[in-house]
Amino acid sequence: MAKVSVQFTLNGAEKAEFIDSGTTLLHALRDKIGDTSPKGGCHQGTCGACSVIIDGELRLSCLTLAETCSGAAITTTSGLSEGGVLHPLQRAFLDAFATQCGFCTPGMIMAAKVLLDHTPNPSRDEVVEALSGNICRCTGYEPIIQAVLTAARSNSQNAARGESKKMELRKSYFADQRKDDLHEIGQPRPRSDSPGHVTGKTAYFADRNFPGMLHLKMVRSPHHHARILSIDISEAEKHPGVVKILTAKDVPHNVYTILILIQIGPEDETVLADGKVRWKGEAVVAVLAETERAAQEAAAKVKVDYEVLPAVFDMEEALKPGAPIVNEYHGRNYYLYDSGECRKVRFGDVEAGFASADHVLEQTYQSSPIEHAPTETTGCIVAPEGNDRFTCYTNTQAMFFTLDNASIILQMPGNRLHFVGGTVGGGFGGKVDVIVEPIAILGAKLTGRPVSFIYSRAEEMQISSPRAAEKVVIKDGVMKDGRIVARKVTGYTDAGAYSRHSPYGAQKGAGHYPGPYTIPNVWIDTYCVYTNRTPSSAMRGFGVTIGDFALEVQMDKLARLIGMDPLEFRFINAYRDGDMKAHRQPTEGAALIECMQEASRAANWPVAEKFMAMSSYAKGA
Amino acid sequence: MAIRRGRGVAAINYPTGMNLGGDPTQALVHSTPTGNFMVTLSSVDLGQGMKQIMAQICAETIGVPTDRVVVDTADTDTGPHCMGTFASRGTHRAGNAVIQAAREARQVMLEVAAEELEVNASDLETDGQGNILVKGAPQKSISIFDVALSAHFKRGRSISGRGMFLIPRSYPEKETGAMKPSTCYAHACTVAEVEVDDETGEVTVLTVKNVFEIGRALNPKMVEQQLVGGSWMGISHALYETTEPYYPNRDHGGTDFNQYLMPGPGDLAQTEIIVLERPSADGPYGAKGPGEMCANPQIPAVANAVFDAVGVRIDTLPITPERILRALKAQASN
Ligand code: FES
Ligand code: FES
Repeated sequence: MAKVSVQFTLNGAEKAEFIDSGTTLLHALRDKIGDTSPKGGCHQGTCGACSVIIDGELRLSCLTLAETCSGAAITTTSGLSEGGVLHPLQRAFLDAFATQCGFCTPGMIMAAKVLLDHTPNPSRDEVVEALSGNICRCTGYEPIIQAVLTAARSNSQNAARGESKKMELRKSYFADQRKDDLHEIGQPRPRSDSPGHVTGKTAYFADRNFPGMLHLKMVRSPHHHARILSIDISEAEKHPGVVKILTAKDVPHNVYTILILIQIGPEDETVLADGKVRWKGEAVVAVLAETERAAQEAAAKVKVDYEVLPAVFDMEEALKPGAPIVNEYHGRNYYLYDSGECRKVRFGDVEAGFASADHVLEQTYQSSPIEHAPTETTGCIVAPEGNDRFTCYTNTQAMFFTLDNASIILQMPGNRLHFVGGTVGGGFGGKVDVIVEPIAILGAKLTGRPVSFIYSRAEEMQISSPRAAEKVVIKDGVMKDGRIVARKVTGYTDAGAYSRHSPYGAQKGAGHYPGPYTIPNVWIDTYCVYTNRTPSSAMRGFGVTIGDFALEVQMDKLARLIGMDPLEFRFINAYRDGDMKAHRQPTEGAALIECMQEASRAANWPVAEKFMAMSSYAKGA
Repeated sequence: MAIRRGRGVAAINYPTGMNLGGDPTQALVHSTPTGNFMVTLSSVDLGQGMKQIMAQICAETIGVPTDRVVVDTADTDTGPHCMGTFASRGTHRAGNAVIQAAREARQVMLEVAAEELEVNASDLETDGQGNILVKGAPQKSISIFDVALSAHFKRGRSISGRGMFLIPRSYPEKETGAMKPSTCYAHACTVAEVEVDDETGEVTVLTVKNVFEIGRALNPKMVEQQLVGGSWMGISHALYETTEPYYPNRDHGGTDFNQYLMPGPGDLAQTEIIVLERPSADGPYGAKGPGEMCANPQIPAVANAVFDAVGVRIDTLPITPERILRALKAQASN
C-alpha cells in the first residue's frame, strides 16, 4: 500500500508521520502517534466519540483521512489542560458528575469547546444543538448539558423543557432505621476516575497497541438456519497480510455454554460453527491478518457452501409440534428445567381465586429485542507473554467468569491465563457473554502474536446479544374493593438460537412475579424458547424489566376496570413486611408504600388519607 | 387533531444480586508502610463508579479519609475472585467483602496502635482524619502513618485483611417454586407526564418524577448520576429502542446510531429524582443495588400515560408513533 507523509501540529506540537494512504485521522492519532483520547465508538460517523478540532472546526476523526490534515492544527481533549491545570470545561464536567464510563467524554468536551469558542454564552438550546452529534449511553445527557452551561457561566436560567431538579434525599422516611453517624459514606466525594475521563487519560482496553498485533475478523452466516456443506479458505489464505485462518476444528472444546460454571447445561453453542448455523450472523470462520483491512478483505474471500433450512422466528410457532428444531443440543425449542418445560411457582389455588373474583382480566404483552448499545464496543486484545501465558486485556464485565470459560473452551489450564480489565465503556449486561476472548486467545496461541478482536458498531448492534424479546400473559382476578385475589402469569423469553444466560433470566422472572403485591393465589410459568435469531442474554433489569412493563400496565387496566384510582389500587395490594410472597419467602425491608406516598406528593397526585397513613412495617408492629 | 396530555404511574421492586445467590466476591485490604490502604479486587468498573464506592466503603470501615485508599481491581493475577459486575451486585457483594477485609485490617491497626500507646485496643477509636485516639482521652493519640510504620518496620505486623461475601445458592423447589431469589429489594415509583400528537403519533415525555428507595445512598452524587441516566434509558426503552422493529420479523434491524434510536440531548424529559433510604439488613452500610431497577418504572409509567392521553393501549414495546397511529385508527373504526 502506498505510503504518504503527513505533517500537522497536535496540541501545539509538530508531528510528522509516514502512513498508509487511506489511514483515518483517528487511526493515525491513536495507533501511530499514541494520543488515545479520541475514542472509536463506531468508525462510521455516528457516535461522536472520535471528535477532534481541526483548525477550529469540530471534525469526526474516523471520517477524516489523515493525509488531508497536512499543515493543520489539531486539538484533542488530551491537549486541553495546561501545566496540570484543567480547562474550565474539564473542571465543569468533574464538578457536574457528567462522566460515568467516560468513553464519550473526550468527544463531548471537543464538541463543547468548539461551541464555546464560537459562542461564549450559549443558551441551553445551543448547547443541546452542539452536543447532538455525540452519543452518551450512561448519563442521560442532562449532567453534560449542565456542565457545558456552567463552563460558559451561562446566566440564562430559562427553565426550558428538560431542565431538571437536583436529587433530593428524603430522610423523614424510615428515620428510625437510618443513622447519620458516618464519615465517608453518604458523602458526595468526587469520583477518583473522573479526572482521567475528562483528560482522555483513562485507559480502556483498546487504548493499547502492541507491535506485530494481528486483527481478527469473523466470517458470519448470511442465513438464519442452514447446513454448512463445505468451507473453502484457499483463496482467503492467499490474500496478502493473512496470517492464520481458524475453523471449528481448531477450537479444542468448540461446543460450550457459559453457565456450565454454575452447572446450568447442556453445552449448546459453538465457538465457530460446525456443520450448521442457527442464526444470521453466527461466527463461522475467523481470519487473522496484519491489518483490519486485510482481515476484512480475506474474510470476504472465504467460500462457505450452505444448504438453507427452514427457520423459525416466532416463539409460538417454535413451540408448536413439528416446528423446525433450532438447536439439536436441546432437541426441542425450549429449555428443559428440572421442573419441566418451564420454571413454575404455585401458591394457593389460582382457579378458586378466579372463580371468586368480581372481574377476571387476561392480557398479553410483548416486547422486541433491545441492544445495550454501549459507546465502547465489545472486544479484547491478547498478548502472549512468552512464557506460555497469555494476557487478555478485555472489557468483559466478569473477569474470572470469562477466564474460566476460556479455560474450558481452550482446554488450557487457568493459570496460563491472565485477564486484565480497567474501565469499561459501558456494559449494561452486554459484556457478560464470553464471545471474543476465547477465539482471540486461540489466535494468539497459534500465531505467537498479539491479537485484537473488537466488534464493529454493526456487530455490536446486531451480533452481540440483545435483551430478549418477551411475551407475558397475565390473568388476574380482582374484587370490586380493589383486592387482587388471583394472578396467573405465563412468561416467554426468546433466547434466540443459544442459551447463554437466558435460562437464568426466564427463571429470574418466575421469582419476580407477581410483582411487589401480596396476592393469595398465584400461578407462574416461565419458558425459555429457542428461535433462529441472535442469541439474547443479560441486560440491565434482566428477567424483570419487561415483566414490570407488563405487570404495571396490567395494574393500570385493573384499576380502571373497577373504577379506582390507579395509585390507590396499588396501595391496596402493596406488599409489606411479613407478607408471604408466592415463592414462599416472607417480605422483608419493603418500601413500596413509602415510594408511592412520596410520588403522590411530588407529582401532586392525591390519594386518600388512609393510604398516606400506611406503612411498610408489619401490620402488627 | 390535537396534542393530548396524559399521565401514568408505575411502582416496582427489584432484587439485589445474582438471582438465587451463589455468587461470591472476595476482597483483600492491606496498608502501605505509610498508612495508605490498598483494596484489591477483580471486580470490574463499568463506569458506574465501583472503584470510588469501594474506596469510600474501605475508608469508612478503617476510619481514614477516602483519599487514603487506592483500589486495584479487574486483574486476575492480583485480585481474588469476583463473580462479576451484573445483577446489581457490585456494591452489595464486593462492598460487603471490602468491609470484612477492612475490619480485619483495622483490628491489626488498632492492636499495633495499642502497643504503641500502651493501652488496650478496645479503648481506641479512629477520628476519621487519619489518627487513632484513646476513647475519652483524645489528647493521647497516634497517627495512622506512625502506626503503619511501626507495624511494618518495628513490630513485624501486617496490617491487612481478607474479605469474602457469599449468599448461599438457593435451588427452586420443582413443583411449588419455593426459592430465595434475593436477600434485599430496592423500590421505585414513577409518575410520567406525556403529550401525544394524535396526528403523528409522536410522544413527548414532559416530566418524569422518580422516587427510588435504594437502602443507602453511599455517595449521593454518584447515586444521582446513575438514577438520572437510568431514568433516561427507561424512557428510551419505552418509546424508541429495538434491534428488530418488526419483531418477530428479522428485517430492518439498525446497525448504527442513526438507525438505532434513542432520545438525544434535545429530547429529554424534565426529570426529578427523590431518594428514600431504608437500609437493608445485609447491605454494606445498608446499601441495595439500584443500578438496574432505576431504568424499569419509566416504561410502564409512560405506557400508562399514553393511554391516559389518547385512550389506546400499546401493549407492545417500543411504543412507536406507528403503533399509536394504528391503534388510533383501529379505535376510530370501531
Ligand atoms: S463518530 Fe467517529 S468513531 Fe463514532
Ligand atoms: S459516560 Fe457517556 S457513554 Fe458512558
